Amino acid sequence: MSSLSQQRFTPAAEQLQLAPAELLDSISHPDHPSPKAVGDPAATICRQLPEQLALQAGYLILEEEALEIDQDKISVYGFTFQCGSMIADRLRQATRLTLFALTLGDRFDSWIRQLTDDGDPLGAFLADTAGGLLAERVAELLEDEVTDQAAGEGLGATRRFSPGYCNWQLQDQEQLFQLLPENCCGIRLQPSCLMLPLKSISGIIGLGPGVEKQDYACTHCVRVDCHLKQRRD
Amino acid sequence: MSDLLARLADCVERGNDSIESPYPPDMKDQPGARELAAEALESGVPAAEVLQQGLVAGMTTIGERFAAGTAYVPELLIAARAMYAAMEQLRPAFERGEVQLQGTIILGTVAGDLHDIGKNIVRMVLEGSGWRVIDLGVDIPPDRFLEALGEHPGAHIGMSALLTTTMTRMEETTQAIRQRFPGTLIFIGGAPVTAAFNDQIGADGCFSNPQGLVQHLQTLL
Repeated sequence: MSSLSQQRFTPAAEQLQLAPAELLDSISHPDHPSPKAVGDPAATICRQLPEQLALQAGYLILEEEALEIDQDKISVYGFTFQCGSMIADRLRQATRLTLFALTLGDRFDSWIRQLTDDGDPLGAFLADTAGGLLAERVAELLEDEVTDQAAGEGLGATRRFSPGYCNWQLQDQEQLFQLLPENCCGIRLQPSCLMLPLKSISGIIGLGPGVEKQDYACTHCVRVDCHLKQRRD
Repeated sequence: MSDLLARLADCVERGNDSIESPYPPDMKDQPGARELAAEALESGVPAAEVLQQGLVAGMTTIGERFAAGTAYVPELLIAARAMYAAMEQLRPAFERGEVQLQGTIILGTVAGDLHDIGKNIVRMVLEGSGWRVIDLGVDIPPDRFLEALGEHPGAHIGMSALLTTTMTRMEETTQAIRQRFPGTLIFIGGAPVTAAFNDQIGADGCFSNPQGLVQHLQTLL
């Protein structure tokens, strides 16, 4: 397998700051703000968060001729991903595939575990939520960089898609990690397809001359347990 | 006296754990759950009544609001903090056997899964509803559930999973429990778990929020 380019992605430190208001918004209803008692712990978590990060992120762009897109699956270098029709549809015009992975690091998991062990379930919940928000933000920034880079070459880019979401089988995580460089970002894939560290994201972005960035189809999705659906809606 | 317990229930529901707590602002500098529980016991209210009419009542209200979508996880967690502060006052009565708990539930996140935030919330709501909880932790294989059932005969089981790939381990665990401890009630929960999956693996109930489990357990008493 060969790739056109392999890039580390390093966001600026200020992009990794999380405001307490953002954290509180994510855990409350707009008509029913979080009680004031949550404000101080949320501020503490946001203040402590940067020193818990050992962020690693990167992406690689696969060669043009490797990609085949079917009705509800895509094939690349002999691997077939059962990604579902929505993702296949969004990737239809893609001629290249970008694979990416990122993690907030093991220290972050240890921090959440420590808060739990110290009898601070509110702190653990806030740290867990903050980690999810931050990982998604890094993924968004990485997607922006890939999109900008593609635009420089006259190519469009899809949104990012990850196994386990948008009807893409979580089991395909195994194949995705076989395509990614060994020990990619220090992420260890478990037999259950769980990534360790827990605050990690992997996925793909399609690139091509006719590709347009279309929205996710969350409004048509029947899943009720998807945390991204609430954010993307 | 019922006014004292009603105030205790209010403190639990609103998360006022002690007189030092500045929250909620309208309860600032007033006795919180810890002080009210101590006062009730000192004035001769039986510990079981303090538990039921103070702690369980407060946790039930916040649990119902959570289930109805008018309270969120942080509110549940600060209520639980207040509940534990009051529970600490009841500890000697528990040790003297003066308080009869509702029963025992063994909780664990199934093998291969390391998520525990949801399970921990369920644990708090169950404890706040008067149940004894044996929390096995995360990544729990079937054998560990069996071992715990051997140590706590008659206990119910609560299993959690957050991934579609790990929820399948619930079936294996359910079968192992059915074989060795038939009659054990097995409940499941977690983001990907559905009622259809519950029926498919032969579990006894699937709940989208902890209060649903608590209410179901009440019907079994």
